Amino acid sequence: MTALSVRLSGKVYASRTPGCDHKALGSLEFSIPEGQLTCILGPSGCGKTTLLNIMSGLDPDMEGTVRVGDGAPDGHAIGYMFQTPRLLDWLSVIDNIRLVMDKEAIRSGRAERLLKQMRLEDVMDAFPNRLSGGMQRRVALARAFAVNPGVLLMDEPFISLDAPVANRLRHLLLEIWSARPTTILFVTHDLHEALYLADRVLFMSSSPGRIVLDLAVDLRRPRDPNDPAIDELAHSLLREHPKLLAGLAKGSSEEA
Amino acid sequence: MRRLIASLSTASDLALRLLSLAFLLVIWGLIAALADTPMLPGPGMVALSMFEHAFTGDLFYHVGVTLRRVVIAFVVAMIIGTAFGMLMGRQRQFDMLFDGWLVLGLNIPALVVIMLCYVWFGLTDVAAILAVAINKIPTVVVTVREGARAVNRDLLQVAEIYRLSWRKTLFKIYLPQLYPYLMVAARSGLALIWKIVLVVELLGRSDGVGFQLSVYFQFFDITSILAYTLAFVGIVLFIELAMVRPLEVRLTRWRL
Repeated sequence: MTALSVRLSGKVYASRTPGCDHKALGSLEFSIPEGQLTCILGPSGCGKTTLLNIMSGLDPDMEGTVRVGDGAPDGHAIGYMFQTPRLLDWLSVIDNIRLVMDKEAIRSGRAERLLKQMRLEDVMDAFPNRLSGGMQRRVALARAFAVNPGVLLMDEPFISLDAPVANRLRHLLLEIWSARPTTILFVTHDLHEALYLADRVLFMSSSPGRIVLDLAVDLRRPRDPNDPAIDELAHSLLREHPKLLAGLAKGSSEEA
Repeated sequence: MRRLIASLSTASDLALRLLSLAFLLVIWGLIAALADTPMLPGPGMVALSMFEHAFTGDLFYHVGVTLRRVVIAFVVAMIIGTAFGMLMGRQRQFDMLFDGWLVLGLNIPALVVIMLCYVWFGLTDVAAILAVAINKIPTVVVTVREGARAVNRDLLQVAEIYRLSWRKTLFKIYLPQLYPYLMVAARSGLALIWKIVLVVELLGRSDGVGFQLSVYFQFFDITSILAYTLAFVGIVLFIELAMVRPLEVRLTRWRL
């Protein structure tokens, strides 16, 4: 079953000065099967967030089609974890989660279960701005899973955290992902992160973003972030495509 | 512990406030004693007169009538002003459409509004309250518009992604960001409105504190004028301390 299919012929940000329109995305086509954890990796400014905003429906102004599966009958089609936690500072942690749930889900105790899974049961009644950055991300992650999304979009959610905290969060994400199978589209610019997390990595070019390489990651799960196999894979990948992280794969033309 | 320290500091705050008021009373008493004229009665005389008016006169009745007008005008002005402020802060067209009205409303003298309301709608309570509300609405609009402009769009995106109902979006995401501005509007509103209510009563009503003041003014009864004034100031102070401030503490308790 396909959870998400995207076919874009481009995305242009109109400028007030004529002739200076910014072409953020080139032509893009991919589909994501249900339950897959896919990373989208590209240099900064290549239009990754633009792509997520289009898929989430926040930005309806584009040329092309985005098809999102229905997801679970009791869930939302789309969940979105933003780059910053975007929690409501005036609601307690648990109320932040409950806010996005319907009455039935609240009564079932789903919010409490999720927070427990995130090891946040001790701060359920705290206000988010009292928590550390890592804990705030965990609340945001719990909120994203609270709506039982058909597709969960994640926009570099562990950026600006120190390495150990980010590592713990990645581990937590994989843990909750295996407990609650969900289709995830995870945007990052960190190759190691992508190879550690993903079933598949889509490499994007620099702006206007296109997909230059579609890579299946066959590493066995559960994975260890320090597993040398990840580094090996990264090295062999970069040997084959030296400019991959700048958005160029072997065989793709520079001017495209 | 923190709560204890907090309550101690509010206790000493309170002591300081009371001390400062007592000091003012002493100065007043000294000047009155030195001047020794019926044009400036001392605090004791005024207090005595207040008791007389309260228990043998109509002080409670007139204060009640004025208070009712203040409350109604306040509620009407806050609701209408908030609605317009939110719309104007959010939508540029709306802002441009009504900005001229706003400038007019801010600059038209209170006295003129009162006169016109009495002339057009008769010497009625409705006209009186309407005049007061019209005077206050523009300042509420200006304050709330400022708040609406500062509302965090990222959080509104959260509401959109998680498909929150308009009710949840308004009460859990939008209004909490406006509370500081609403509190400012409410504070200044209370002070402004009761002063205008007195003018309205003086010009066209036959009850209320403003009417009583005009009567005592004709008799040059300064003691009674001060007694009525201080009785009402006391009530406004009570509203501020017993209602507005606790509400503010409650609404902003999440802040660091």
